[in-house]
Amino acid sequence: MTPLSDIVEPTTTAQAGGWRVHLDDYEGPLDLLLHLVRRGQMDVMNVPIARLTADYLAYLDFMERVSIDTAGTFALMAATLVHIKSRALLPAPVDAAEGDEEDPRGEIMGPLLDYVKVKDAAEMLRQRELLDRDVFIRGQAELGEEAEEGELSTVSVFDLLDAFRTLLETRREEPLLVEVEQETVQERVGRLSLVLSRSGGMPFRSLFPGGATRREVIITFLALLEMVKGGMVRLIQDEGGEITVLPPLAGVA
Amino acid sequence: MELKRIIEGLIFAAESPLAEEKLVQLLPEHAPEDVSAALRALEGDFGTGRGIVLRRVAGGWQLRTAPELAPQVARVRNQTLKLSRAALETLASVAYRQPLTRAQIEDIRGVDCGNLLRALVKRKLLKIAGRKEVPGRPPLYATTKTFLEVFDLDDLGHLPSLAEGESLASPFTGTARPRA
Repeated sequence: MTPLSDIVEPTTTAQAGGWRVHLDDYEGPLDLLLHLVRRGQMDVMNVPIARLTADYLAYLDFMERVSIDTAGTFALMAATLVHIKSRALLPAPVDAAEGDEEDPRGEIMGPLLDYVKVKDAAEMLRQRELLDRDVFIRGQAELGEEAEEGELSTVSVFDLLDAFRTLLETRREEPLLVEVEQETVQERVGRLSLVLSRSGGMPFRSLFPGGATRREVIITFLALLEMVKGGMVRLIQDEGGEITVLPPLAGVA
Repeated sequence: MELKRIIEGLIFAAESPLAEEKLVQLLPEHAPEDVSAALRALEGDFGTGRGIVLRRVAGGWQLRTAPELAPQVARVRNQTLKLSRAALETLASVAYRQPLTRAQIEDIRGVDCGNLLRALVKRKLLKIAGRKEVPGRPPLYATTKTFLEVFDLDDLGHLPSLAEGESLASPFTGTARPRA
């Protein structure tokens, strides 16, 4: 993989006033770990901790460089991974009572396995015949307001970031220093909305025409992330991994 | 049978799923066995070929549109259900291991759940069912009757079972995890 420094400059403190996208509460460090485990085809039951840690840290670095802020829990997970990795390198402490070696990776694998099961359970729930989606009753079901923000369907922020990184790699120019104003991003959001509603949807790649500067590419990507957060786009991904960006369904709350 | 018609009317007019015991209570002039038999007969009537089906949900009986008709029926409704992945995962976490504190839910999902929990309580899919007797006495979250109605479940025992065994407890539960 192309070194990050060839693609994006590290951010500097001179970036006060630059617009940053905050990776919201619905994509946490466990989601990222799971994404990396699946992308790297790692065995959750026997995780290659050094590789996972390296991938994770590289990912945090990339997000930082493209103006994406993450919650403190991401940094905490990074510290945890590094800690586990170092413990895994040392001779394992032997449990006095059982005489068994304690696997330091349990600290990660436990939560990951739990989380995978929760995701499976959530999927099973989603496939049931849901009230007000598949079946309806007389009168209004009292379900209260839809209070949640836009969601990503099956395409995660990390899938988008992967696609974006690939895109950046194919545009070999000077490493990009990311510094964009909020206004610019919001202008781009408006423009993208219009384009999408007119075209009815387009492949991820076509949002970044060949002639665009690296700076414009970043602005467009950040605008896309904001639109994802705000439920202003739908995303789908085919088996080949190609992502398509669509306008939201009309009339959906 | 006149009783069958009465029961059909009652189930239609009720504001939520009607339990058999409740039906018996509502119809003191009829013997419980008769009510039961009429209910079974009614169930048979609604078997197939109708746009409405009689379903057992949340411990009671309710008339619902047939699921295959969703695309058309949705046209006559203002708003259809939207449940985000995060909401589903939170509901799944609670459903299988309730009651849980917010901290426990956040441990499972690895993200902050405050806003989401508030929203789900507001939507009556979750409720606060007591407090955990530990320092701080944090509230415990559990699923509601509305949850059962939305997910087409008669009771929690009808939750679909998971691939490997019945519980979400993994072999590593009990290993100390870092808490933010």
